Amino acid sequence: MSTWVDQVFPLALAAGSSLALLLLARGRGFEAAALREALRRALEFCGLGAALYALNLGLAVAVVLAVRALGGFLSLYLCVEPSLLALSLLQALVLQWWAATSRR
Amino acid sequence: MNLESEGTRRGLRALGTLALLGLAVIGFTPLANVLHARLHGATRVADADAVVVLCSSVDPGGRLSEGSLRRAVEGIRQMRRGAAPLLVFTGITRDEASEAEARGRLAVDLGVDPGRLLLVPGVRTTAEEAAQVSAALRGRGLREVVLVTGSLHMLRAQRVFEKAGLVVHPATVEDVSGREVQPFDRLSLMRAVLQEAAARGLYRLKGAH
Repeated sequence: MSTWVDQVFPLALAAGSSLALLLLARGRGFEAAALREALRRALEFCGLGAALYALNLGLAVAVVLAVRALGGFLSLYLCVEPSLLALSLLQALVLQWWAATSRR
Repeated sequence: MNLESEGTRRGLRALGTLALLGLAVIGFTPLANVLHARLHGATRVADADAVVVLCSSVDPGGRLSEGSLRRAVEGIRQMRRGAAPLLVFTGITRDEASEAEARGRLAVDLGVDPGRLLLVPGVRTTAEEAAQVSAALRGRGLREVVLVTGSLHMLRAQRVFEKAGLVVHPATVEDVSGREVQPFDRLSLMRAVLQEAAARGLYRLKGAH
């Protein structure tokens, strides 16, 4: 399999399924104008997730260094545990929905 | 904090756009591959007093990680080609599992004489590995080592071992592939690159190399 296929395959797949979803949603009466707001919300979710991940990462490094300074030991590799990213995104989702619900 | 104010939302959108652009650049360009090549340690084959294989990981059941296995096999290969008369395995300890002992058993199963094995278990950092291996080898009057570790880890490990008083000949193991092209693999490669860059920064701050 060529390098080009490796890179393009997931993008092409996502583009295809996005187009199918778009057609399905339009068929079900979803407003075209609301898609713009949905995309804005999605970008805000990504931004909030990135900010919370940076915060959690900084906190993790601080905890590891503090434990070491107190004579204990925690590995710095704990800080790059992928579940931290997933948990940060979950935090972002809950916070975003919480803020939106509180406004109503 | 008002997440619903227009100013905050605009800021979050900007940050989100940057994050997505960053992911796209890492996943779909050779940036991670280029950075990996810049941090990559060299190999300089030479004969020495001992072959020293640095730790990677082991699971609580005693199963060696892929990186640990690759390094152990390279150490055994170096010894069998006659690089040194002594093979040293360091290793972490996880619950009851000892990486060094698991590697030692593997080496014996593959024909290494148990009398030519030295195990240094229970290490946690590169600095601890260097201190303990240096003490053990210098106590036997040995100073020159073939150092076996991963391609990203080598430069830092080499400096730390040299600072501990040993003469180092690096034997790099490709435990992380720098030729990844699939987006997720490149993201993983970038994570490894950033992790090593952070570790080098920390060691430099501590004056450990």
